[in-house]
Parts: sequence; C-alpha cells; structure tokens
Amino acid sequence: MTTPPPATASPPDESAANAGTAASALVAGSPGAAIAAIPFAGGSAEHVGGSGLLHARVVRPPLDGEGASLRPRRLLAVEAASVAAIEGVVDVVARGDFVAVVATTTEAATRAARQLKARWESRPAPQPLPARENVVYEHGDTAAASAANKLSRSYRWPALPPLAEESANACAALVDGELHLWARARAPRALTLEIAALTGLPPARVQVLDPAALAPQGLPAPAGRSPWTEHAAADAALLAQRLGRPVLVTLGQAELRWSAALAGAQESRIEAADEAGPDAAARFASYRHTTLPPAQTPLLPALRLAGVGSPTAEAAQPATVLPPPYRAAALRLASTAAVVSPRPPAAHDPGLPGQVFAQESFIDEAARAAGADPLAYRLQRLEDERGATLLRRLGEQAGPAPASDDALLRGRGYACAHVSEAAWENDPQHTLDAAAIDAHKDAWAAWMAEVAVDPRSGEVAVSRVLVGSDAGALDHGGMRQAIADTTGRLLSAEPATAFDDWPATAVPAAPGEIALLNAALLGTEPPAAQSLPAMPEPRLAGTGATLLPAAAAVANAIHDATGVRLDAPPFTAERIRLALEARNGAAVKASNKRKLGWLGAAAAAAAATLATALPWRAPIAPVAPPAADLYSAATLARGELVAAAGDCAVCHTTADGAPLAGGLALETPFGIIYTTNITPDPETGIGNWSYAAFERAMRHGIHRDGRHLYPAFPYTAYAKLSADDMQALYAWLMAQPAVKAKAPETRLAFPYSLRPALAGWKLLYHDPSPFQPDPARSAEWNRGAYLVEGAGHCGACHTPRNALGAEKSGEHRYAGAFAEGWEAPPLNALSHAPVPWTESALYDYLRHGYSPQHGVASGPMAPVVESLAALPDSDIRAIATYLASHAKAAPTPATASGYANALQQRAQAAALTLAGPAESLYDGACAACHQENGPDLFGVKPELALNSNLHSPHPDNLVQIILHGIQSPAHGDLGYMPGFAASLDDRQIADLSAYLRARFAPDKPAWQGLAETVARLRKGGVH
Amino acid sequence: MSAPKQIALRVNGSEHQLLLSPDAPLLYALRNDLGLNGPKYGCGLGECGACTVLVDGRAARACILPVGGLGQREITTLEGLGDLAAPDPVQQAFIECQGAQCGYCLNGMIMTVRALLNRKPEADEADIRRELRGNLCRCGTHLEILASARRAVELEGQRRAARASAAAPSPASTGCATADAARAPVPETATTATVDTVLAGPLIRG
Ligand code: FES
Ligand code: FES
Repeated sequence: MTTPPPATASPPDESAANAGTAASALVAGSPGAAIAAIPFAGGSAEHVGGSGLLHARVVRPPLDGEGASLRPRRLLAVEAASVAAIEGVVDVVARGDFVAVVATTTEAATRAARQLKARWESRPAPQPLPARENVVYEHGDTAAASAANKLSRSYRWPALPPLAEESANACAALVDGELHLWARARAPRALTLEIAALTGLPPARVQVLDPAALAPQGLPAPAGRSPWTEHAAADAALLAQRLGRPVLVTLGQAELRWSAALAGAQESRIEAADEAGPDAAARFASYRHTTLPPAQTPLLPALRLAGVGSPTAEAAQPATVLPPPYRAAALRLASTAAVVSPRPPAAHDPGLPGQVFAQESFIDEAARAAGADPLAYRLQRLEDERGATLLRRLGEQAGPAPASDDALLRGRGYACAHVSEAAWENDPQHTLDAAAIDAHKDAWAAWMAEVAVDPRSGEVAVSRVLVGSDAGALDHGGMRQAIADTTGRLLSAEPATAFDDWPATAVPAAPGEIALLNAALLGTEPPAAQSLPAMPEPRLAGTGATLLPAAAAVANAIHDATGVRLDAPPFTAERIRLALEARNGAAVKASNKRKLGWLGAAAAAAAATLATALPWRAPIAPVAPPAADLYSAATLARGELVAAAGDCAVCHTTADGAPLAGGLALETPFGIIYTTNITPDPETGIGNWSYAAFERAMRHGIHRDGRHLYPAFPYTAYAKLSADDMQALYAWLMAQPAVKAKAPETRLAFPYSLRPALAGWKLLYHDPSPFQPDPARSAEWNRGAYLVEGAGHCGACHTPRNALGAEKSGEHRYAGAFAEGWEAPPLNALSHAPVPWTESALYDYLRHGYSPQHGVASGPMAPVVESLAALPDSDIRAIATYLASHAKAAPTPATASGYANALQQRAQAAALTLAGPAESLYDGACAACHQENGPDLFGVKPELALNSNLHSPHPDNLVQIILHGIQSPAHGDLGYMPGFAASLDDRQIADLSAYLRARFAPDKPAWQGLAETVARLRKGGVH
Repeated sequence: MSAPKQIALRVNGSEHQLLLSPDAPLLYALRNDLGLNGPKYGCGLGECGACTVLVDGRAARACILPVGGLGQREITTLEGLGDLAAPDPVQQAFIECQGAQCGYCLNGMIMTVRALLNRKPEADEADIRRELRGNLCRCGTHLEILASARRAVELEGQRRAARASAAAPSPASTGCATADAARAPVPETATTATVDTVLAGPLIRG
C-alpha cells in the first residue's frame, strides 16, 4: 500500500479538536447543495465546467537508484518551445523539479506532456541512515530461546502498482482568494495542511470539496483511489494558483507507477521458536516481530518536487506493530521508525496490511517447518476463542482440498487478522456513542483462498475465495467487488514498462468463486449486548479489516500448490515461473530478459548460431496436440494479440481458404513459395508440433522434421519474440480450429531447391538472439522497436534484400523494397512522402488505414492494418514512435499542413498547363472521387497531390491501384475504388499515370517505361 | 469473384438476407435481387453517378461498393425517399421543375442533392454545382436540374420550418427559375414521365 500522508489516522483527541474545521471543509449532502455552497468567482460552479477550465498533465522526473535510494532527477531545463506548436497548449509550468503542461483539453495536454523536451540531471545516492530498533512491546525473554528450532523470515510489502487503465484526477480553483479542491481525499485535514504549505495560503483558506459537485458540469467523474487523488489535488493546487484559473489534473499510468515506485516497501522481520520438549504446550517459546517502515518520505509529489517540506511530518503518526494472535511465552514487538506507539494499530493503519501479510505467511511457514497442517497449527495456537471459531467454521465450509493434475497445480491457503475496527473513523455522522464504539473495537477476519497455477507459464488464477468476518453483514456487492479488486491487484503485473507487456491482458480475472460468510452464518456473532446500532449502508466498517488476510491467504495457497514461497506481492506469473525453474534446477532460459545481461545474450546467440550451422537438424518427435483447456484465457488473449501483431493470418490464409490453413503463393525472386497450414491439424498442420518444435521453427527456421525453412517465413524477425509471447502464440494457434488442408508444395529451381544450403545462409544472415531493449530510450520506443523488429516483421517488406535474399543492414535498413508486385516504400530518411511523416500521421495510417496527408493503406499493407486493429492504441503509438525515429526530422503539425497547402496549390497551377486526351481520362475516371473541389461521397477522398505513390521514383503502386482498384480496404469506412484493368488499355493507363505524375508531382521527373510496367503488372495479378 | 455466402443488407429500413458473393456490386444486389430499380447502371466504374444511393445518409456509388463491405450500414435508394403520396422535398422539386429529359441520370441527381441537403440544408448555388459536378447527364438537362436543386433547397427549408413550428410562415418562393432566366411557371400537374422517373415508377424500370 502506498503510504498516505502521516496525519491520516490522527489520534481521537486531535480529531475531535478538528471536527469543526473538517465539517466545514467537506461539503456534504446532495450535489445541488454542494454547488450552492461553492462561491465561485464566475458566479457558480459552471465556471469550472465552462471554457475557463484548463487541463493539465504532469511530467514526473525520471528515477535513479532502487529501494531506499530511489530518487527523482533534478530538472535542468525544460524547452517550452518543443510543445508550442501543439494546438491548445496554454502553458508549461516548472517549479523546482515539478513540471506540468497545461492546455485547453486533456488530449492536447497529454500529447504535449509526451512531446515535451526536458533535461534532467542525476542526484548522488543519499547515505543510508543507520536503523535503530525501538521496542514497542516486550514480555518474557525472547533472546533466550534455543537457536535449534528457530525460524527467521523477512517479508516485504511494496506499494501495489496501479491496475491497467487506472487513473486519478482532481480539480482546483482559486475563488476569492480561497483555494478550492475537488478531490476524493482520504485524509482531507492532512491534505489541507500540506496544500497550505505548498501554496503559502493559511490552512483556513484551503477547502477540500466533494468532487461529485462537479459532475453536473460535465466534468469527468472523479476517478482513482486515495492517495493518488491526493497527489493529483496537490498538483492541481499548484497549477491553479500559478495560472489563476481552474485546473483539472489527470494522472495516468506512468505517473501512478512513478508514485507507487517512490512509495517504497515496508519490511517485516519475524523470528520465532516453537516450544520444545516432551510436555511442550502448543505455543511459541519466543516471537519477535520487527518492522522497517518504507525508507521514503510519504510526501505528496508536488511538495517533494517543488522542494517544500511537509508540515505534517513532525506530527507524524507514531508507528505501531500488530501483536500476533498466537500464544507466545515471550513476545517482542519493535520498529525502526523514529516514533513508536504502544497502541495496537487501527484497521486503517497504513502499516497494517504488510504486518498481517508477514505474520500470516510466517505462521504458514512455521507450520510446514513443524510438519503440521497450517490450519490445525493455527487453531491450536490462537488465543482468542472467537477467532478460532471463525477459522474452524471457514475450514468446515471449505470442503476437501483441491487436487493438482498434469496441467495445473492447485493449492489452498488460510490467513486471518484480528484488529481494532476503530469505528469512530467510519462514523462521520456521530451516530455511535462512546460505549458502543468501545464495545466494537475488535474485529476478526479470515480468508480461505484456492489457486490454480500453470507451471509452464507461472500464471496464477484465484479459483475460489471464502471470506469470513465477525464485523457484521458482509454480503453486499461492494464487498464482492472489493475482494475481486484486491485479488486482482495482488496478481497484477509489476509496475514494469517491459517491451513485451500487452496492456489488454494485464488485468487478471476475478476469482472464479467468492463466498462470503457473515457472522450469523458462522455462529460467531458477538454477544447480543454488543450488536451494533444500525449503520448507514453501505457499511464501511469491516471493509478495512476484512481484506487484510487476502495477500497471505493467496501467498499461502501458491506455496501449497507449488512449494514456492513469495515474500512480497504482487504474485506475478514471471516470479513464480522463475522460482519454479530455479527450484527444478532448470537452466535459466535465454528468454529471461530481466536477468540476462549483455554477456549472456551474446553467449546464447553464439551458441545458437553454431548449432544452426549444421546442414541438417534432428526431427523433434511428434506429440499429441495439447488439450483445448490447457491454457488460461489470459494466455490465449495474449497469444491472439501476438498473432495480430505478427499478421500470421495475412500470409497463411488464401482468399477463399479457411483462416491459417495456408496455401497462399508468395512470389519471391527465387520462385514461388507456398505458405503452410498452421492450424492444429495433426496431418496437414502443426497439430503434432510440441512447443519445442514450434519455438525452434520460429527462432531458427527449422521444420519439426528437421528441414530448414526458407526465410520467406520471417523467422529472422520472430526470433526476437520474448518467451512469454512465444508461448502465448503457440497456445493460441493450438486453440484454433484444426483444418485439414494440404498446402501446395514449394518447389524452387536448383540451386535454391537445396534446403541444407540454408544452414550456411543462416550462419551468415540470421541472428537468433532475443530482443534487447535499449536502456537509453523510452519504454514506448522500446515497445515499438520490439513490435516492429519482432512480431511485426516490418523489415521483411520495407528493407531491401541482397542477392541471397537477406535483409540489408545499416543505412539500407527500412530503405524500401518490392514485395508481391508492390513497392514497400522507404520508412527511413529516404521516404518520398511529399509531406514528411510525423508520429501522429503514422498513428493515423496504422490505426485507421488512412492519413489525409499521405493516403490510404492499399495492396499488401491493407490487410496488415486490418490485423493491427486488434492491438491497443498504446501499441500503435509505440510503433509510430519507433518508426518516426527512423524518418527525417518530423515537421510540426502546422508546418506539415503548410506543406500540404503548397502542394495542393502547385497541383492546381500545374493542371492549367496540361491538356489533351489524358486530361479527359482523368476527368472521366478519377475526378468524380478525387478532385479537390468535388462532391462528398462515401469513403475518404485521398488528395492525389499529397499521395506518396505519385511522388515515388517507381510507378508500380499507382499502376497497381489503377489496374486493380482497392477492393479490400483496411477498414470499410475508407470506401472502395474500382479497378480499370478491364476498361482502360495499357496505353491509356500509361498516359493517365504520366498525366497524374505531371499534375500532382510536377517537381519529379517523368516515369520511364510506363507502358511496360503496366503490361508487366497487368499479367502479375495482385496479392 | 469469391464464393457466395449469406449477406445481410439493410435497405430502406428493412433487413434482407441474400446469398451473394461478397465482391458483388451493391447495384446488382439492389436491382436484381431486391427489385429496386431506382438506381441505374451507367458506367459501372463510379464515373457517372447514375447508380447513386445513400449509405448512412452520404452519397455512394452503388456500382463500386461490394456488398460484403457494407456491414450494418443503412442503405437508402430512391424508393426509400418517398412515394407519390408523400414525395421527398427533393423529389417534389424535380417534379415541379420538370428536371428531366430521358430521366436516366435523375436517380443520381436526386440522391446526390438529398445527400447535400442532409449535410447542408441551406446549400447555395456553389454548393449545388460542386456536388453535382460528378453526375453526368447525356441529355443536356443541366439547367432544369440545377433549377430543381434550388427548388429542393426551398422545399427542404419549408419542411424543416414546418416541423419546427406548425405556424411558421413559408418563405418567398423562387419557383423553378433556371440559371438567370425568368421564372418559369410551376406546372399544374407534373407529366407522368417525370413523376415516374423521380419516384422510380414503372416507365423507367429495367
Ligand atoms: S453506374 Fe455507378 S457511377 Fe456510373
Ligand atoms: S441523362 Fe437523360 S436526363 Fe440526364
């Protein structure tokens, strides 16, 4: 959990003193009432919803170091000019290391934040302070226990990363010298103090208001959980004060991950020994629990970056340590925090979840070390009868333990928590009297979780959850959602921006089954005298304590299933897979990108190259196809995205054939190569290919039977796929319908018919090493590079090949080439696009199949764009970012549209000088749809003056399109173009092409040999 | 041409299931399979506009749209605009102004003007000329067609005003003035030929 501002849970006396302020600071009641209570400068809250509102995105500094030494860089300079051309940008604000871009729309601010150029400087690593232990509680002599059966363990509790698509926002405005904040704050009082310090306003002039009041103004619904909305609120406050206008700040994934990373991790060290000897009681002889709070200060980012100290830091809440619920002859609780309190932590204490995780993981380990059943071991040692009853009932409800099978490892784990509910925290209406609150300070919660783990991928699914609590009725939708969110967060991927993360698959599925056992069902209801007075629904009390055992229950279940002990959430597939591999003694695979250094990669590549140079390879034995339900839905979804990025279906499907059944003829300079059937049919497809065979084909271009494959199959690119992606792709292909279809056999002429010769070819031209991200580049660039160089295999068409059919390198990379009778234009500085490509034009083209300044995706590129439709926007943007880095310096949008206008005017002028039969051809065949000032017709109207094909040194693409039209565009909205092959002869098409060149690209030399080109392409047909 | 398959088309407000090759031009499906002969076959290459229909309210040339590419888009043909009892303002204008000679191009003229008015109800002379620039008429009926289009703008305005308020005064009419000529009298009754062409009637079937 991210550490909140320290005053979150202030002691009750202080809270009472502040009650008046807090009540006036929070506008309660209906939104209408809230609006009436907001005295806006413009007269009403409409001021915020109207044109006055500005939208901001912050740019957080890059981080250096790790753990306690993790630190943001220092800002040297920010170049406001780098975003000046973006329409809607209002200002770039920098204060200390705080940087934000303010614009009239969130979209403009987001674009600008991405493009803003800033220079940062690393700070030296801080000296770690020596930690001193402060004892919170001690009885008996914990040092005396014999070391013989002592178990000592340590656990970490990091801030959990945001979920995919999670964001947070908050709004701030200066009204009559007061700063109003609309934010879903967890600790409004502390936020008020910190923002007062940030802005220099007296705390009384800072008001935290209910964001629901903004909804009627059409503002985005307040999003995000505390404390991230508080981070956004502080950012908004700083900007609203600087600009004197209302500002809405949105924090996206990157900013939330930045905050989560800086929040650091709490550590818990537990050391305990069981009572030994013949008449030993079921209790610990000694138990020591020491917590090390996160080393980072829990300061709001705006304050930290602006260099403002926290006004609440001195009044920091003293650290507390949770007493374990188990019997111990000697007990010692300590913390390395500067200030400690002997009080037990309240249910909302930020240090609590990590301590429960540590204690409940530890008891599980202790039970297993003693060879005992973890549930029975707990029940023997629990001090409190209510807790023991709750846990026992939970065990009875759980039924027989799940059994593992060949495909999935299954396990079950328990955990419980016993904490003070501190009901006053959830009683803003003051409906509870002091006696009632006292009577309900204690709450028990217990979890049983069952997991299923795929041992190959390490993926975990929480298949069943049983939650019991004696804090009152649990069975409402909010609790189910909270449970699903919690387990999802525990399993969600690390806050990595790895190049092979697929955003759409990052959210683990909710537990298969959630059962809630409330107090009545369990028969552990508190005595009647203690039953709570009616509370307003939904009841918040109970929520905090109820979710506490979640992490330990899931970790214990994973251990039960796999024998792997995870000492910190999140429990990601990668960590489990690595632990399983390490335990099984398997060599760490080359695919383990996070562990593999440069040296390892080079060695792996060298070894693989040597192996591949053998002129023949051993066949890999056929296997039965994997069962349909072997792979999880998440794996299949990921595999589908990899297949889409790799356009598998584009080449492995014929116009009338079943998907992936192969048979498409690919024309190469060496002869016709037919694509193969890659459906899981055992006879004609790849149904009996094991994963090892599949991976060898993808990375090394070797058929299952040992034959070398021709490099028309782009394994030179697919070798770059990460192991996770390769596995997911295999899983997805094996889950597709099997189609029995024998693809025609490829028969090349001698010497290309000699497949063993390919071994030498590979030695020369194939580098099977996996993709290596460039640490000097952004995560987005690396993601784009991975997609383009790996699955996307863009170079297969866009990079020229040498006489032996290998892609050239160096300056020839992406220098353009010919494929299937079409020109694949250069993507590098040689691009002949009359308006240079920009990142956003590339995005438009790849996402929508059309860029107004370049034209439509046609020929073999149309199905590529169609296939890319499956990828999320972020991936298309990453591809655009990477490709743009190869191109000429991109013009600003304003310059680009200036170019476009000039080109159109030039074409109009050129038209006046041209006449004759070709002009009639143009008027008849083209003008209705293409003339600049023509009717509005269904589809897009590509401007010929801007079309890259008319500016290319090669007329091929233009002639292809005139001959065959555009019959299957990337997207139905683009419209269609008829082919003129049947109505215009070679001479007419040549004349028309020459006319189009002279009119729309008058600065380019006339094309030579047009009639022959037309005749040649007319014969060739089209892919 | 790829193998026939079941294709759903939404035409004039109803859905039709047809067994067709996905590459087949929409024009063929409309005329041959659905018997909607308002759209005409002129060139088959998107050059003349005789086949124009509306796709989601925009003018589209039915001879070059493959039926497989239309998905759930709403197609409107001349038949879908109106009939003798309740003609569309554009149809009414072409009847009043006798905007036809042989009438072969009329489907395209009417549908294109309809699409223009969908987009810009107060279209001016330049708008009309630009919009009709890609529609060919072999009979030289251009002036009458332009006059009909201008009248259509008026009638469309009246219809919209009447919808907005039942009591709205109707604006002054320019009738069927061709280009700069004097006002032509509005004919008392339209000739059968024009009515049938404009409303996709029996005379011009086939
Ligand atoms: S028939 Fe369709 S435009 Fe001529
Ligand atoms: S084509 Fe005959 S009226 Fe236009």
